[in-house]
Amino acid sequence: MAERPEDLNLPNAVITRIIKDSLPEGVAIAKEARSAIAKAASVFVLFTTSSANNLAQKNKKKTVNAQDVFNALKEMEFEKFIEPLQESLEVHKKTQQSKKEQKEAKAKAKKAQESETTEAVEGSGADNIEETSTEDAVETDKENDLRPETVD
Amino acid sequence: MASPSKNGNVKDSPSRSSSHPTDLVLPTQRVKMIMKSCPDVDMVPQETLHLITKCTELFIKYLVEETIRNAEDRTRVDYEALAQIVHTKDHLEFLRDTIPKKITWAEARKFMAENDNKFEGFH
Repeated sequence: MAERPEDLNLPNAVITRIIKDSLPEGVAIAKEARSAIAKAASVFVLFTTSSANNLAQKNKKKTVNAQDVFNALKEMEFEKFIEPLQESLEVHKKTQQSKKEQKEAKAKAKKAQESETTEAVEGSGADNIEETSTEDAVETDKENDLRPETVD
Repeated sequence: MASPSKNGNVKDSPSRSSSHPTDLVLPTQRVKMIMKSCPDVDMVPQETLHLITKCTELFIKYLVEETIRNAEDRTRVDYEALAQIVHTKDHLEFLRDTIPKKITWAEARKFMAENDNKFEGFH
């Protein structure tokens, strides 16, 4: 699908960061080694994906799932990755779940706020009360007043 | 080991790497593009993308650590040391074309001389 060769490369800056984080104090990496590792990372994605995909297809499945990835890693002799990956997945799922809940809670709160505002301010024309937090001081005064004196 | 801190680089963790398990460092969209360039790969579930991205990060870390472990000069990760582990460890065989061993010009000439009949025009 990718038409330009760079599409299949991972960004150098990020690879460098991961490498640097893995280096002990005082150890440097040669430029050539760094770019070789970058290429190796892309090849690893391809190889792991294709191995996992083969396993999925063998089991007559259309999509590659987590178990296929774990089994592929076993085949590739990278079993040691499985445990940290499982942990990572757990945390990821929990984060996704709590993000979802936060979003829902926010939406609910906003809805409740909106309906309160429309009840309290009847036809005063100041429907935009909740949105004028950064607007002129004049507007704010109006809000605090609560009496539609200067509003027409 | 999973510290609940929300800040990216957790430098005080024992492994010295960005160990917050949920923060992926590699861009998932790019990883997805690479995955989709595989024939027969159709849809990539979110979970699978997360796993492949994360395990590639682990792999990079692994390559660096192994290279240092096996290197003569442990203050530096150089190409030769990297190629060395790729060509000696069985499970890194898939990288042998990507990270070829380098030979000197003298060695190359010797090889060509010995295989004279296979290299036309290189005299």
